[in-house]
Amino acid sequence: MLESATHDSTGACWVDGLLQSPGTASGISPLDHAIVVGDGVFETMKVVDGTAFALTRHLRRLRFSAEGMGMLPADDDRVRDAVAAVLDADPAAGKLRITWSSGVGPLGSSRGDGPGTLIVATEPGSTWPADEAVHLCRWTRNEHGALVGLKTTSYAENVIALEAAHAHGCSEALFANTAGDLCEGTGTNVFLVVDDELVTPPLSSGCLAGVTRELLLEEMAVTERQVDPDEFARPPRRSSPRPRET
Amino acid sequence: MSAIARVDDLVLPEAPGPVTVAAQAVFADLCTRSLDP
Repeated sequence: MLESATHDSTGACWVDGLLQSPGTASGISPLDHAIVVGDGVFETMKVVDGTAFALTRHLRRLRFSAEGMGMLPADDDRVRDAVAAVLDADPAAGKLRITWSSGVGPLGSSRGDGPGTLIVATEPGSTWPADEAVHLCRWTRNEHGALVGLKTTSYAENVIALEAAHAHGCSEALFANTAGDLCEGTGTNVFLVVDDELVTPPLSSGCLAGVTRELLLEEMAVTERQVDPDEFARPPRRSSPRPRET
Repeated sequence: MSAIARVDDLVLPEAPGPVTVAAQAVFADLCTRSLDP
């Protein structure tokens, strides 16, 4: 899952109504607050045969994240139109990302009052291994923090944790929260099989309400409860599934 | 959905176990039923 090592720059990109080539996209201000301080929200989803998977759920969460950030949410119809335009321009897309920022702002934490910036971009899909190694990182998720439950562009903590995982020969990093309970991965939710029971940390752990997690909870018997990271080592050891896209 | 086969130095030799395989199958089936579930 070492995405950076296999990154392909092909794809399509849409910025505020204009289709562009990825990597050369213009029209994004250097003062955009998502660039300046990570003041934005986003969604990523797989693309299957030219269709963005679970788009309605992703748009619902994009709105939830924006409102949680105190931003005006993006217009759903406008986002859907942008998604359609990008997928039409890149019919081979395997992955799609929607980014919605608060728009141009000052060079500090204060937010501007301009319109938000909408970016939709695609890239080829990723092929994931059947099983992976994960690293329990030394940093914690703050389940009491202002960004809990929101999928924001403030992802630098995940970048650092994932780099640490790679340094340990692992492809994902898992976080505990400040209480010491298992929380989530940098881009994943985590499930454990304990005595043949599928368990996953509750949202109160500070984890993101992943779309795949949500779907699994609807489709299967899953117990949401606090999970001690030491449960990985409790016999009988069982493999644990880990939804990829959150 | 990927199975966790190792947590740092702890190897989980049964990965993927039957519950994991079942969860993967449920999700794969879901994806075939609808692309906007």
